[in-house]
Amino acid sequence: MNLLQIQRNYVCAVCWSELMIQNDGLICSKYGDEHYGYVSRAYMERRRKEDHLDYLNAHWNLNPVLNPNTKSADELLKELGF
Amino acid sequence: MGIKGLTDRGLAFPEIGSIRKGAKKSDERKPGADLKYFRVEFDEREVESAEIFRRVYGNQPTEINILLPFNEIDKVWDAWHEAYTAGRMVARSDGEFLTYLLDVETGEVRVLGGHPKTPHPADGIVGFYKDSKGSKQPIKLRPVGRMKVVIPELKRLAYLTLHTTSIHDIMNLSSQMEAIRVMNSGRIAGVPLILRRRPKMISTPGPDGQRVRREKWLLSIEADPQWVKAKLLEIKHLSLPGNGLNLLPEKVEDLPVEMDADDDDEEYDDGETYIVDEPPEEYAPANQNKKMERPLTPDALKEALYKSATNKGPAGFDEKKRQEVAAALEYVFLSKDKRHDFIRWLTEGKTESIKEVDESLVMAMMRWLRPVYSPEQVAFIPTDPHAAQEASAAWSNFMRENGQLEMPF
Repeated sequence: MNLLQIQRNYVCAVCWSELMIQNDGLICSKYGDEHYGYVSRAYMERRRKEDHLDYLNAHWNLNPVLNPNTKSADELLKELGF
Repeated sequence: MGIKGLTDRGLAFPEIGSIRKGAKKSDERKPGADLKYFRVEFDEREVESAEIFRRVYGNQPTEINILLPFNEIDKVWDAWHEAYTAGRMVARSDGEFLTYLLDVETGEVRVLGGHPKTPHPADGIVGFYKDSKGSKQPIKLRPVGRMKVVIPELKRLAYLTLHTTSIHDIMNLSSQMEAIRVMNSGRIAGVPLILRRRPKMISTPGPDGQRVRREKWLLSIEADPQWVKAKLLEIKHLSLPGNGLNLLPEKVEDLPVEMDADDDDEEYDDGETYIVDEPPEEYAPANQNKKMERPLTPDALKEALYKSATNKGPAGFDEKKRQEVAAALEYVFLSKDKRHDFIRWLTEGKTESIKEVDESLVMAMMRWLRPVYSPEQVAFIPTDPHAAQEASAAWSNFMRENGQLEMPF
């Protein structure tokens, strides 16, 4: 697989930024050689799609433990602008 | 030192750092020295979280309180054999069969999603690369374990990834998580756990090929003793005749208050709970009595909502119901714009404001979402198990139809 193919199909493993060709190698276009490794674009897209439901699940599972509080339903609706 | 750019991924449930067992690598080809404590690194921008962590645990913690964010072990814990070269994954295996294999010469993906069925190679070699001297070196599969953990003291819906490449850790953690899951009726999310490093003598390959026993500081997750006590009390209580209400010697009020968060009862204060006590709607397509399979596709959802609105009308409607539906959609989408998009999708572009939605359709949404106010979550939560997924799919579909196919959530 040549560098252009890797650049097209992969992104930086740490920040998911585009990759850039430099000195016959690939580096993160945002953080240069401070970041190491690539992940496929397909993986990044799948993770982004899953993220929303992951957040909702984690919120449902953990919010009572992490942020216990006593706001009422009416206060919440008011806060949301209703 | 912090990690740069980890939170640039733009995720709602972000990874903000990592927990590792070894020191930083001094030689790229060798792992860093094994430590007796955890090396915890946060994203550079997570200054506040890093500060709270240091204050609570210091710089060389050997024990960390953790929570697991999901009930499904495979969503929390990745345990594979993986092979890497030049920074990218070349192969992944479940120990029996390869699930992914990349031909390093051609760049062609030879195995994807376990197809075609390819056995895990006995020697673990999945390819070769040429080192700096030009000699051929094997690329080998090695065990890798990653666990998503939330640190309660940070009070953040964000996780750190615990990394290990020890087969002993992987076996240990897998069985410990399974034991907690079994003990807690299938639930692992939110159980207060303690992540520890424990010394253990294990057999490792020596320089002359012979096995030698060495002390290694392995990983262990253990349920918080207070939680275990409460759980045992609950089991004892359930095993007694008549649930043993009058027989238990232990005082229930002795249990730690936070244990309530793990109860399944979902009780809320009177006056702050709004439960739609109608039975869940059984969505059926026109002229059929068969129940539709959930989650519904976007088209089936729209059809079911309009059918329900037509059949049941606005009975039970008041303005508060409209607000509750809007608040539940806000919870699902975490965004006013997305909620507006959803209403535009549902009304075929007639309006984006729920205030202009027909009362019968509002009630149909109410029966679909079944929102309940949770004072703990400070949110109207849809209690229908498929509603959030169906709403998200409808929104994605709408965006796709509008030419924003690759737009992430």
